[in-house]
Amino acid sequence: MDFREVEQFIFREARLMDEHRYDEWLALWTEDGLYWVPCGRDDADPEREVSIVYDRMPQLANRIQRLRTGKAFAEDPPSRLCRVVSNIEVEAASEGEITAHSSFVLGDLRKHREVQWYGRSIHRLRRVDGGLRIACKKVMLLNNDEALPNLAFLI
Amino acid sequence: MAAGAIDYSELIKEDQVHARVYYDDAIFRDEMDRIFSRNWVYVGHESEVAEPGEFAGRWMGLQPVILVRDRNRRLHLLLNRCRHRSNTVCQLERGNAAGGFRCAYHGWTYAASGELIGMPYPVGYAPGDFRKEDYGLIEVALDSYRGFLFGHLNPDGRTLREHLGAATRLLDQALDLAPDGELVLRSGILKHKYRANWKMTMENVLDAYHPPILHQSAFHLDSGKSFNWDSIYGPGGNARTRDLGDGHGQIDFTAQNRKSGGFFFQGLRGDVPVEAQRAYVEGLERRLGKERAAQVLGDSDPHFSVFPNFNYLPPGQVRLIRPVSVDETHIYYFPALLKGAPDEINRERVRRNGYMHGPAGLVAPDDIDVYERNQDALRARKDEWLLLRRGIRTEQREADGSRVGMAFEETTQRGIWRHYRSLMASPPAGSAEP
Repeated sequence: MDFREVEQFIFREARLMDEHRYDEWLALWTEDGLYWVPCGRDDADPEREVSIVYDRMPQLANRIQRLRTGKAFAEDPPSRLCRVVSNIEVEAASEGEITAHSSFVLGDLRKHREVQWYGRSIHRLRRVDGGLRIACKKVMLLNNDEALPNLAFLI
Repeated sequence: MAAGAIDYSELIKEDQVHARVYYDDAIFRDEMDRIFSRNWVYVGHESEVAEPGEFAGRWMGLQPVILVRDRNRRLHLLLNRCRHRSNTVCQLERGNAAGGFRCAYHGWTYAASGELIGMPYPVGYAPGDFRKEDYGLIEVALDSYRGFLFGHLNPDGRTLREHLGAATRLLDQALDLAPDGELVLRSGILKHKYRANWKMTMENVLDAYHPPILHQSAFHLDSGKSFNWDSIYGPGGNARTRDLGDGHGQIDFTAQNRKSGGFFFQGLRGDVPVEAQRAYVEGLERRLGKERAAQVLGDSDPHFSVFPNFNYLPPGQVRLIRPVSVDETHIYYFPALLKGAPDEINRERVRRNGYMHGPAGLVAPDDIDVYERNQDALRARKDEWLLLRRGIRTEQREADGSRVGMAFEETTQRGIWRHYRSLMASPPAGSAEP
């Protein structure tokens, strides 16, 4: 396992999200990928408790398709995003998968208004055709039990 | 009218409303008194506080309240304010108060029933100066309609059932979809906020003109691309807007639901295994009989609103609207699960709540952005009237007094404003204190 490779992968994912490069971001996922942003508490049961995002690939593809229509008005004009990802820890997990923990700070500027977002992420990465892919990404927002402004971009 | 008082009949006309009602802080303060302190206000659902000691921290207008079940399983709605020196006794929005609510400042402790049960150094009061039983947390009137709990800060004799009026039929419709006849709201809360007036969302949720336009990005995903949305929302469409009176309203999709054999707006068909669907229908038939079950499924989940702060949207979403200031509002979205339905159905209801209507949903964020655009535009101060004239000459009166318009008309919004004007024009009787 190459720590550098994992770190670079996570940085690249962050930049694709910042730059709204939706198709390239979607290509980072495995076919059975799961994108989860818990609501209310970090350890909620996503099958029984509502999540901010709980997408498998069909839902994630819809989310991306919607953003690309140009008619997703919550992102028109789009947010300018800049995130700093840090505190990356990499650990080997079962069946050739890699788990990476990280923290982020995200500046979100839209229509003269700045919002700061904070959170921790857990990526479960798998090697597919020689490259890393996201099998599961869990994003634990600092404020996931607070009333949130729109979160219509990728986090 | 007292000098300086606001003349609401000048601001709210049958066919238009003045922008000031959305941005004037004096009007917001009036609303907190005349609307949120003098009416039944939605505060939560019995299932949220199902166990002894369970509580939910809520607000009635700006006033902090605690919805709590005591050790004898009785429900209480209490002002979250220590009777000694005014301090919040409950800091959390959910939890269990089996050990009571203890004020951090001087340690006064209240049972979950609100009763004052202890304080440090009671000897500080001279004999006869203080009776503990006079200083429990202040109790607010609370009533339930089949599990839905509403509070009233200044009960005036009007019952909850009278307040709900025609909306009881729609609450029943939502409840009837549960094989056990009950809804369960214990699956978390999505919380969303926006920088605009609370009435924006109360109007929007009954506005059936905007969905195929504002939400086109969600409507025209691959799954809905081939569907002719005009057949619901357009001039020949089968959806209707209903002003139910008292500010309550409905977007009535019954015709479409029946046409598609129910489930249309629940959208469950493709996402739930056939066996689970079958088990669900059998469960309904056991309770309701075959004929009635078919009718309930055909009518499907309703889409309606109870003034001033409750919405119900298919599939299975209860909303509680919380005004924070004249230009800030929070919306809480609760998945409403069908008691007795197979897990697969309820899991899908939970998932769709976040997928469609949370802060990261495919629908709600566009509404939220529009409310903020509304509030920004209200700063333009020429000809400040917002129009409400669509369908004003063609809407129909039904036998029960409700008014019915097409989806793209403004029958429901006119209903909200007609009721709003009647509440705001009536001078407050006495103080706002309960």
